[in-house]
Amino acid sequence: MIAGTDLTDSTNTSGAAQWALRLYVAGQTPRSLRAAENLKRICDEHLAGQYSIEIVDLLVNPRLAKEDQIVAIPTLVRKLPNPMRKIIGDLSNTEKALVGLQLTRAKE
Amino acid sequence: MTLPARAFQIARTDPASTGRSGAAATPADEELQRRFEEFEQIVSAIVQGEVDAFVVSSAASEQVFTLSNAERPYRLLVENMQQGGLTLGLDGVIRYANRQFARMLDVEVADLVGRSVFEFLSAEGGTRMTRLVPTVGTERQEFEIGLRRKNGVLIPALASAVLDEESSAIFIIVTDLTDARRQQALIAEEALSGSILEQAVDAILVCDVDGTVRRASHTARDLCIVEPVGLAFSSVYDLRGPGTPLDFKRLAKGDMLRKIEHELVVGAQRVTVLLSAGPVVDRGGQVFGVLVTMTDIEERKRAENVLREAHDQLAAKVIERTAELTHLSHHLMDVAEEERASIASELHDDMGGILTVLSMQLSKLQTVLPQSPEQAAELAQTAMDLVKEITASQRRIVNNLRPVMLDSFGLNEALRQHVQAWHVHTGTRVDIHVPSKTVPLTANESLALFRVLQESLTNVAKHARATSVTVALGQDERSVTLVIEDDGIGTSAETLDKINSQGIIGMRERVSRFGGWLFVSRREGSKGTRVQATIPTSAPSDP
Repeated sequence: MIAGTDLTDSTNTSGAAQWALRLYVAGQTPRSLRAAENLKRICDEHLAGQYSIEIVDLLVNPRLAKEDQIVAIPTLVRKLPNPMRKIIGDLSNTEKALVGLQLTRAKE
Repeated sequence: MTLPARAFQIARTDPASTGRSGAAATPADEELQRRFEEFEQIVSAIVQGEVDAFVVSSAASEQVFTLSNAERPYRLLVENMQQGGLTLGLDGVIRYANRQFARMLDVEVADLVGRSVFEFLSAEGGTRMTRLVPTVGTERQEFEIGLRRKNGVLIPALASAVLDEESSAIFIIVTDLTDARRQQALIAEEALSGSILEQAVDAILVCDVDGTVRRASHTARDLCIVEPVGLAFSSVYDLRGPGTPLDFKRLAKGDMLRKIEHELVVGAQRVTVLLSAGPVVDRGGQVFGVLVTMTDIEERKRAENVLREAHDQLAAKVIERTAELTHLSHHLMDVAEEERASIASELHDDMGGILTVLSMQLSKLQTVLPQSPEQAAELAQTAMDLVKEITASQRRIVNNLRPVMLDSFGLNEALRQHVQAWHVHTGTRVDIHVPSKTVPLTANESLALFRVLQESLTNVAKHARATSVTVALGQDERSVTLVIEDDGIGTSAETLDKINSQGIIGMRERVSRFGGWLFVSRREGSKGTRVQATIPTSAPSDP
């Protein structure tokens, strides 16, 4: 459905997004839809103007799972900045998502 | 919810398990660490219900398995769309059909699955589908089919088919074209009525029940000075006549106007039209407006008026002509009576007296013959003289009835002789000019001109008080003309009407019998009357 959908919001002065994110979904499963919504909200709140999101629908092209060794869906992959990181789940736990993206420290 | 995670935590933090106590972490250790963390996340996500699909990898491919029903939105979409949707095996057997497709065929969905799609297609549609099955590819193909409903009725439909090689199935979206066809028919009907409206000679207007013009033909636009559509009929068309302004509410209820003559004011012009109006109904019999037609009959009226005027003129002419002929008839009867009286008088006064004397002479001769041959001879001589007188009288009478000269010597000489005799009789001076050669007229044509001369000279003698008369006979290539002019008191219009009209009409009738014409006029520049009679020559004149 939304294979390769690019939701870019890069308004930083360099012109390129500093945060490159890829969200793997499986068609319109409820968790996939929720993950996309949550990711957009988190990025708008914490990375405004400096991110790009690529949504990959594995129902359309399952082979793309191999590149990032995706097992569970939805999975968010932080391609940039390095190192690559994965956050598995629908991102409904914002704190956990921020920790996974290393945008904040997890509470001890 | 942390129990599984603790197991990974133990494995990750127990240096004894790696056998390299106190040693620095190798890249393999780091990879292992990362994987542990990922598994930990996966398990945590599963436990917390944050994932609903998994990717299962094999050497050949990856397959996605969903925990929740990912197809549900698609199914809802397919089940609720307006088109029919069905999945066929390559043998044409229906694997799946949506509710709308079942509804098109008027059957239950459960009755469709497992049956051949060909059972529900027209022969032509089946043929197309048969051709399609081996050729269909991943590219969409569209073709028309006829769907056979349960009651046998065929409905037109558009099929859009695509092949899925992986599942060896053909997916078809079917669109019911019944409404589209109906729409097309309506559009065609509308185009036809529009065309009729535009080409109609009559002005045609469709108004709503309030009298607002909704449609107007080309001719209807010619009969007004503004664009009528959208305006009140009565504000556009200024009609004068019975039933105006039109009552659209009553017309919509069924009142009819049929070809009623009205006057239509268009700018500064007035046009006569035949107006018809009545309700218009839709297919369901509902009145939706009023149809007004106006036929411009201005041209027809004008032609009628011209015709009526021509008819009236002709009728007047016939009356006038009839009166002329009646007068002529009376005149001819009078002339005939006068001629009879004249002949009787001449026979009685002239020949009768002579014959009486002759009879007495012959009786005396009978008595004296034996006694006195000398006296007898004298009586015989007297009788002979009397017979001569009788012969002369007879010749004169016959000549008046029919001029012998005309038959014997032609018109030229007859005119000369008659003019001479008239001069002797009246004492009026006459100049006569005739051509040396005989004019090319038939005997009857010559007689007509001779009678014109006779009548004219009689009129001169009776009314003109003339001292001299000129008679001229002339000819050109086309006609022979006789002119009689006098220097008398002249002919007034009143005189023509009262005194000579019958005589003139008689002369005119004589020459018109041969295609000729006669003019009577006052002489130009002097007094007197001029009579001119012309007869076209039927034979070419002598060179």
